Amino acid sequence: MNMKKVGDIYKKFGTVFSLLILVIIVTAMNPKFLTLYNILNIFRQVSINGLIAFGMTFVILTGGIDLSVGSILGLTGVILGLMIKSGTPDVIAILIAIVFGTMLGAINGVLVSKIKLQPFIATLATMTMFRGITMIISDGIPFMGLTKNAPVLDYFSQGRFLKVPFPMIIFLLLLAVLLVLLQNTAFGRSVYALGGNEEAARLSSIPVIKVKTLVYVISGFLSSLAAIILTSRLSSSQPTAGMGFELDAIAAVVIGGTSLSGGKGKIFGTFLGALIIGVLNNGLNIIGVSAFYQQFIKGLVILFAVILDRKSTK
Amino acid sequence: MKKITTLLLIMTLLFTMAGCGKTTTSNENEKPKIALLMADLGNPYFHVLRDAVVNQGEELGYEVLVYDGQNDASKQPSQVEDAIQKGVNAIIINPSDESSTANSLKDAIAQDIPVVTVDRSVDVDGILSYLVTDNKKGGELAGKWLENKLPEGGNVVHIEGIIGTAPQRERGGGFLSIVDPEKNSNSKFKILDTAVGEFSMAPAEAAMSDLLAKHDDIDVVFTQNDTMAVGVARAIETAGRQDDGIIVIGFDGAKEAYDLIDQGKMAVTAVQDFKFIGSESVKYVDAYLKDGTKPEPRVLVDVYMSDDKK
Repeated sequence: MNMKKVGDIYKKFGTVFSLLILVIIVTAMNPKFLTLYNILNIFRQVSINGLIAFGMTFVILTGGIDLSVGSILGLTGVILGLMIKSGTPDVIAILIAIVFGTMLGAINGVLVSKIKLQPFIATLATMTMFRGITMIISDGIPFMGLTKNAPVLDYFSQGRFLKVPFPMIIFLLLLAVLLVLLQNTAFGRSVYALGGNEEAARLSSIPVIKVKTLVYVISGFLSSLAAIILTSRLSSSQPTAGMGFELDAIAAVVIGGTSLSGGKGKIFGTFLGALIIGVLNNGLNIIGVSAFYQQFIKGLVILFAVILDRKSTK
Repeated sequence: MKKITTLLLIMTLLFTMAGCGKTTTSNENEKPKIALLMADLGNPYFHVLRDAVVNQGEELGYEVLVYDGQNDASKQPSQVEDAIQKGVNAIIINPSDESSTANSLKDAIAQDIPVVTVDRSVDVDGILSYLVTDNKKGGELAGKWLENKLPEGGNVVHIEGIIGTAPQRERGGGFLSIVDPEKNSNSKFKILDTAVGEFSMAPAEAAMSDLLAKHDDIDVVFTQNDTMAVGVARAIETAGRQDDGIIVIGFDGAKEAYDLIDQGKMAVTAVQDFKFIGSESVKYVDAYLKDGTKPEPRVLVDVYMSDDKK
């Protein structure tokens, strides 16, 4: 086995190694980390950031960025809360909320693809606007006790299917669907082509505007799905929910080996990246690291993961 | 042409926004006016403070003009200027931070308009008084309440707010000074773990889920505000541990907390006496306007436990 092969193997499995090392360290420091209960707990927590990060992966692959994901989550959650409080049956409220959140994503898509705004600027503006609308609608007041008479909404966080928490099932199911969508369809190939070289993609008659719009639609859809899970978990919708979520999602994408300049990356990498962040958050609490050190260590791990990735792709 | 269109668009937008703003016109010009500037009425808990000021003001014969800073520090200075323009007799302000309104309040003080700050101070000379909750004493009170509740001691989890903020240091410090054996050798409690909930529900819920996976012997959770207590109670429910008899203690006295206490999911909350702070601030300006009486420049207001009859 020569050095190039070792490099190739690392390139393929680097993130898996990082995750394994992290799991081993945390388990060595407190074996309670590796209980079934805690593993399911981690997946339940990771599903929210993970879903958002999946959407972010599509956007970043095209060379864009979506800063508005946290605001879409907040607005969708408040819309859901408003509907439930005014007596809408929860199934209908959930469906409307998801359609609504997906449309917010479409607004981003049109701004970037048709009006040709820079993704950073466009989604920075909608991030602020969507948060503003959330505050106006809710008057800044959270809706509480939402799952009381809403069994379907309650199932989104408390439910179990064959003992597996429902949010984990949604998370893994979407992992599979998006994996296929990105790796095995014409749409997926266009996403990569667009991020690799937009001009070349245009010349090879890829429908640039359509593909660019669609990635933001996907991001909006997944953010609103995450909103349903979070609202269910807290049994309330907070107008401030989702603030800063865009950064965790971007971190998961980057740790997962997707290049911020687009064109290169994988959904499965993002899945692992989200798990690494989740294990880190949970692990630091399980080990009992003081709050002062937690932030520092999180930043260090992100830096480390990205440097390793850089080395392996050289 | 394009530029003109843009200009027109911006102007239309500005006019629409101006229309959105609430204009408070006084129909009884005789009444003296108090301006109440709230940092953020988005937080429902501050409605208690607003209502207390408005009620006390009306009782003493004032018209109270309420401004909402919407948690945007840049809004408040112009709101102060607007209040001075309207010729208010006094200003009660819940500032969004310590400095942004300093200059505009200086103008008010120069015109001998009395200024009282509530909940937060402003770094400017000549403030009539500053009323604030005694957070440290509140933390101690929560600790003492716990000592009474569990004389035999127990295992305590401490959920902190945003690290580095005054309420986080003071509430946590006060509580630990009673409960932490390292700080109080008489304490029979053990601080099992400390986690950060950032004064907000989702992070508190996540941290509590982690700690529930780690410990099966938690007796008490002290959260530094009620929003986090709601998240903690939900995590306990999700983990199916609601029958463990974990005592959840909150801080603030928010409506959500009282609801959870009624449902038995929370034990108690340390209540900030916003009603007292609100009505007292009006009395201060009233006394000053009538005969120049000056209150204490800084008034620390006691907290009480929600199960305490007041």
